[in-house]
Amino acid sequence: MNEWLSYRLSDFVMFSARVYERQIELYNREFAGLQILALCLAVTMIWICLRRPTLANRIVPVILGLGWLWVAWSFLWRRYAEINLLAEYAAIAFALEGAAFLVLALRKRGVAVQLPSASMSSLALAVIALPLFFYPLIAPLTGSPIAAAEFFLMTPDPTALGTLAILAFSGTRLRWLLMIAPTLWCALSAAMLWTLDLPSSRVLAAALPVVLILAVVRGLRRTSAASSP
Amino acid sequence: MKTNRRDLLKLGVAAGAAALGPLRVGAQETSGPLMRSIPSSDVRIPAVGLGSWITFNVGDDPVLLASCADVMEAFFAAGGTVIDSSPMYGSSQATIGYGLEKLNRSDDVFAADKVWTRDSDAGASQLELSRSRWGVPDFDLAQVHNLLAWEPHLETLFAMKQAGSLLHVGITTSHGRRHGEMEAIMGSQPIDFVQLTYNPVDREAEERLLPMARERGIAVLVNRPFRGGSLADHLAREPLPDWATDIGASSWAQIILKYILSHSAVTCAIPATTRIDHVQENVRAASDPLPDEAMRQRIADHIRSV
Ligand SMILES: NC(=O)c1ccc[n+]([C@@H]2O[C@H](COP(=O)([O-])OP(=O)(O)OC[C@H]3O[C@@H](n4cnc5c(N)ncnc54)[C@H](OP(=O)(O)O)[C@@H]3O)[C@@H](O)[C@H]2O)c1
Repeated sequence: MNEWLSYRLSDFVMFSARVYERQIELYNREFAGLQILALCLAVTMIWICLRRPTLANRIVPVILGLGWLWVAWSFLWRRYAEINLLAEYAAIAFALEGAAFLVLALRKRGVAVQLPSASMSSLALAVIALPLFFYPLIAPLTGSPIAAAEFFLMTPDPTALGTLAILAFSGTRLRWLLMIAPTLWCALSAAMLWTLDLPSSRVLAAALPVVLILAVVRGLRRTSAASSP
Repeated sequence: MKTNRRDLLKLGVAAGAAALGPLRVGAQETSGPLMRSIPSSDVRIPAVGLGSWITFNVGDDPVLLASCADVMEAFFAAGGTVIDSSPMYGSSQATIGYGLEKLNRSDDVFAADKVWTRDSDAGASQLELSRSRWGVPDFDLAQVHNLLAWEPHLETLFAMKQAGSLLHVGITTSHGRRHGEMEAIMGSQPIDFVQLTYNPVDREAEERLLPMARERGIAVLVNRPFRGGSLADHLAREPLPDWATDIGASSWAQIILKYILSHSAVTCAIPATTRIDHVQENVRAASDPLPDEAMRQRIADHIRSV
């Protein structure tokens, strides 16, 4: 028997759904109040992108950079790593991604986010709103305590998904590089949490390909627009 | 000074240690769970222990830590002593340490842990870190987890045993993996224990490893008795067969455990649980009557058919 074929993903998931949810609850309680700040930052980010695009080029990567660093330290390193051996490595990857955003903020064009304001399609709107604003509703809507709600810039899943959504609308060529870590995280986390039957895993698994396809489609459009006479 | 089982074993007084038993309740063997001897040391341990993979990995959550300690309390009260963990199990070792301290049971537990590192030189330091998390003076059993870098680690563990800081040495596998290599090690190394997966569905160990363990006087710990819970969950939908009462079983979990314990090579099964009623039910399964050969076949056939 090929030993590796005998492994299933669930063999690597070393905690239960209850323990995961309780960790989110404890984290939310530990940093009570920061959820509001995180939501305000998300609103600010969208507002700036729509109204002050030049400013957004620098402000968005600063917010994302600080958010990724915060998640790396406060959740992955201090808390999640206690119950998940992979989280330590994830914390390093999140910290590097955060640092990359901060470095990018120093460039004039930053991440050059261009949200299609007036003509924003409902799909594009949903892709951005889900991780930034509606992710916290998943827990209470699926029978978990509201205290187990996950927020963008607070826990890794909505942070990674939200970052992908924003990068999908970014014009910087570096976006493809910046999308690697959040894509890998979303795929890994969705798979792990799926084995635990956690509803958020279904949302993450469904949203990830949509965001990636959107990014590719927008990328192609941008390329063809640039090359048209 | 209180002389306990560990002190006696260190002095090489195996018979004295065996007589003292591994735990307070061990003194009343007649009313407690079925006991089995470790062939190499004659130490007797209850035939059902407690695993800690997933179930005890609860981080620093005070509510879940307390509920794990409650499970441990029920386990000790039922007469259990053997607890198994590994550095691979996240915060499980610290949870066990928390429970042992809270219940004041550090001297009573039969502490079984593992070495799990590719680094050949890190075995001793990893075991020391694990020991400090458990808060026990020494480990009763240290096993090389999944045979990872087993050669240097066994060397380290044998040296520790020689020096008196470890009582038994073992190796582990699970899911039926690497049985050929297990067999080779069992045939060539003076190990006290093997740990492997065995239950009415996963019976590969019956072919070579269990007979070999019996032949060579190696104790056997059985992991994944309920296939990680999926077997117990699956059977929970089925009515309990009439013949369950013939072997004194009142649940599917007890039928499974009694099947496992009725193999003469098996020393102890180590199911994991988060529930007090389950831990009590599991330890109670370590009791006579155990199924005979015909009943064993019937159990395996029946479970396969559902
Ligand atoms: N390579 C290795 O060294 C290795 C590999 C695997 C396992 N192990 C060791 O062996 C131990 C046992 O294996 P495991 O934990 O993987 O699987 P297991 O013991 O077969 O299954 C554990 C599951 O069974 C359920 N359960 C326990 N008692 C029950 C009962 N009376 N009725 C119904 N369900 C019951 C528990 O759920 P509840 O919480 O609801 O009771 C738990 O989810 C591990 O914890 C670990 O210490 C070692």
